[in-house]
Amino acid sequence: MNCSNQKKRSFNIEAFKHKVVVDPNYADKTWRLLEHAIDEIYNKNASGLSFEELYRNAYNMVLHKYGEKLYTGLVSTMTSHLVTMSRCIENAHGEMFLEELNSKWADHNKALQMIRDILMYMDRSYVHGSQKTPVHELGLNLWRDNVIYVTGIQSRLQNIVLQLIHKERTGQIINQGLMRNIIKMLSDLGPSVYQVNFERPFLEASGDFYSIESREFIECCDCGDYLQKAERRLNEEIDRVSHYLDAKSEVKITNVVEKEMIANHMTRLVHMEDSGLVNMIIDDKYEDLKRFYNLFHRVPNGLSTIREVMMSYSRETGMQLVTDPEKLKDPVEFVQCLLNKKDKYDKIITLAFNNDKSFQNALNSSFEFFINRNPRSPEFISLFVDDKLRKGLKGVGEDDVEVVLDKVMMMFRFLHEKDVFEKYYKQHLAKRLLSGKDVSDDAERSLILKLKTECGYQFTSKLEGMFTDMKTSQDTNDGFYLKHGADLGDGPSLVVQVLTTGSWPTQPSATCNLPAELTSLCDKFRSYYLGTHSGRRLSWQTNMGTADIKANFGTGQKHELTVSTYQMCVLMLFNNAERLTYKELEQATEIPSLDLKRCLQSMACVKGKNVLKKEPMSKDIGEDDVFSVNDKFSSKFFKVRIGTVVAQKETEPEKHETRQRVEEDRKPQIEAAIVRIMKARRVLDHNNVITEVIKQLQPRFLANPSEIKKRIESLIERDFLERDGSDRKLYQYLA
Amino acid sequence: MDIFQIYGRYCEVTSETLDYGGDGYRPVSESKKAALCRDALSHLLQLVESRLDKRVPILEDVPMLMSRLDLMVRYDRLRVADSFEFSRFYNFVFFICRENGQRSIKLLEPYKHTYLFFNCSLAVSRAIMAWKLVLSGRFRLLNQWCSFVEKNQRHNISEDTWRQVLAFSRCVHENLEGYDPEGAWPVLVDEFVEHMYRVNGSEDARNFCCSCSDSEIQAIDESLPGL
Repeated sequence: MNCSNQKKRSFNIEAFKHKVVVDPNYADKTWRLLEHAIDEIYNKNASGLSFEELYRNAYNMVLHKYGEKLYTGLVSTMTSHLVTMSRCIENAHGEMFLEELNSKWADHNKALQMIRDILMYMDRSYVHGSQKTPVHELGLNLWRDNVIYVTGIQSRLQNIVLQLIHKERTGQIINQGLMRNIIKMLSDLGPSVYQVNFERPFLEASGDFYSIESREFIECCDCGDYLQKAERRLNEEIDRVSHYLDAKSEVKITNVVEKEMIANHMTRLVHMEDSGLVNMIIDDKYEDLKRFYNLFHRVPNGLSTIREVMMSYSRETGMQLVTDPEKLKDPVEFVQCLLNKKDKYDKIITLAFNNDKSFQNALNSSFEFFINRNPRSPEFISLFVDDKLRKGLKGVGEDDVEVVLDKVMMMFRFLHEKDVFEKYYKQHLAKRLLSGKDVSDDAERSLILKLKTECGYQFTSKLEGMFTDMKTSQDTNDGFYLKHGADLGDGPSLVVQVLTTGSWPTQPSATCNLPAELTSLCDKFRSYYLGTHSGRRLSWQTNMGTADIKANFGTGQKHELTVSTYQMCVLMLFNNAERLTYKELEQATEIPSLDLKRCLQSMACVKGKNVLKKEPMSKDIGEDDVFSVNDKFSSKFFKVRIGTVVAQKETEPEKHETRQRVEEDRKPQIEAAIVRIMKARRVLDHNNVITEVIKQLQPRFLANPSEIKKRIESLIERDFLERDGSDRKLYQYLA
Repeated sequence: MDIFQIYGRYCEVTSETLDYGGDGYRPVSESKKAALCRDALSHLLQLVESRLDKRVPILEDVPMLMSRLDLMVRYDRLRVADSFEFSRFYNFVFFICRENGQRSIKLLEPYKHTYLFFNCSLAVSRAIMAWKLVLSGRFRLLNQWCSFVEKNQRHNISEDTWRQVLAFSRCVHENLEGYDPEGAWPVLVDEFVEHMYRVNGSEDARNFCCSCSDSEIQAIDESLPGL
């Protein structure tokens, strides 16, 4: 303890007593040194200066609290140099002005750099502490105030720059490097300087320029040329920005061009006579359309304008197509036209409109609109398929078949009345299957598969049933001939197709009287079939069959005739009679008169197929006509096909009848939908029931509100629903 | 059993259900109640049928009932409070006039269940007669309505249509103002309105009004002797 006390006493630290004597002129002297250095720097004479010495001096001045003196000195010295410079620049004439400005700016920048290095300590401590502008920024500000904002320079600079840009726009070459430096200088001086002294006037001048130019162009160019020019201008401006403007200006200047060149002339361009959008669509000008799309893409409402025009044009032409009575004569041609039209627009959208979804939707909606404006579209589309599957696809590769079928499916998707299509499709398919031979099984099945994926199992189950029937019938026939083949001799042979009621579009029709040769055979088949399938009922659909018969004509000609069952019945009668009147034929066969007339017409009135003679000769069949075998019949073919059951456009009454059947079929579907909805909701108001039902049935057909209403009333009557006691618009479900 | 007794019984049966009918959703027990009510009504109808051999006279009894119930239209007063009373009476008219309650079994496609129900409907001619009787002075378009139905309706009038006609007569003006095409009206009413629009321009609305009031007076005059 003691020891340490003693030690403590022996250390005494004395303060440093030397007085620092400051030269009262120190500040002035040092500043003069520095000022001289700055002058030298501006005079590009800096090589003899010692950076270390200058830095130390500046450092000491700041350290000895002469920072302010140093700072104000710097300001006044630099200002005086800049004033000199600006006078020089002002005196420069013509083209030299920019050059001078540029070189002086470079000098100033270089000087500023050095000065900042020398005064680095001041920047860090004094400037920071007293919240002054740092040296570099100070230099820029002084340049701005003493050079750029000088009256003789400010407006002159602006004008010259704008003039040069104008020159470049009119195709002359300008010194882009110089421009880049000048513009860079302006943006270095701060965004506000760039904007006020360059960008704003530049945009205004550009607006004026393009407004005038676009007006000139639009008067003398067609739409395609105009767009080409507009596109070029736009690219030029983008290039200009990348060459010598501030990147931020790109959006602004392109906006100006877009507005002046495109937005202001949008309607005029689109509707330009002989060369507008519609003409481009007509002529499939993909390049022009692409340009149209790309340019209009840039302006507000541009794309919607194009879309509207495309939609209304496609609608209009579509309406013309579907209402053209000429086109309606040939269903296949009609559908082919629709497909071609769709292809055309699809191609345009893919090639020119960037596969834009909104364009595709617009196109689809306009197709949906006009296809459904023709109530026969479902029938015609089915006929088209029929035609293609019958003959068109022969020799066509499998992939191409798929392409055609896919296109058909696309059309199908547009249909509102899918149930009507189904009805016709079933009819036509039945005819294809029953007429046998040239059905392409793969294509048929492929289409049914497509329908199934599109509309579900219910839609196609019956169609598939038809195929199954065909297969089973084949087996049944084989079985029949295996069993009875031996005792049938060489009489006529019978091919029976057993059609399940309900799956096929059979109509309850009176069976005609078959020739005696056939009746026994038919009876044999009947007993064979019922023997293996007890409890079933067979009825002959003689209106749907076909027959191949051998005929020997008076001239010794032998032919094999392919005819319908009805025609066969008629022809067989002539085995035992020379001449038969219409009445006799009708009596003997009991074929319905309309069908009889039709089949006689095709055997007696068609050239090259007139196996019968008719008296008197005329186009139509009369009740009193007399028929006999045409002994002079000749044909270069051995096999003659007469009035085969090719699906044809329906006649007016047939159409009407189909329509009625469709309406009848819809009733239970609508009722089922109402009940389904009401069962789930228990209570629902009238309007919601209607909308829900329409929504639910949409995939099949468009339900008619008044029909829905009738169904609701019928359901009320049958106690499925009742009206609410207090609100008559409200329905309640009665379990 | 006279018409007053039948009406009394009818009111008893229906008032039970009407008490519940007010608020939208109907629990299961109440729908059972409705079924009970239907049974009771059919029972009543059978009773009526067995007591009365002819149906036509009963329609002639209706004015009597109307006057007893004090439901005739008077010029001096148009009661608002009687609307409920009148609705019940109006529905009752359908009840006693309707076609012989044929039971029929029908199959409704979607559910394949067998349902048993009454075929409650009214032959057109009888319906028109009944309308002329009970709605006179209450329905400004009564004459037009009846002649329209006479010409255009081939099927019987269902109970729902019958009831909705009363609602229609209450909310529609002579110039068809107050008719809402979205208003869940029966198709027959829709067709009637369409027919009226077609036949007359809206300028004729005033004429309508006049002819209407004429017919009202007439109708009342006709019914007076029956009292």
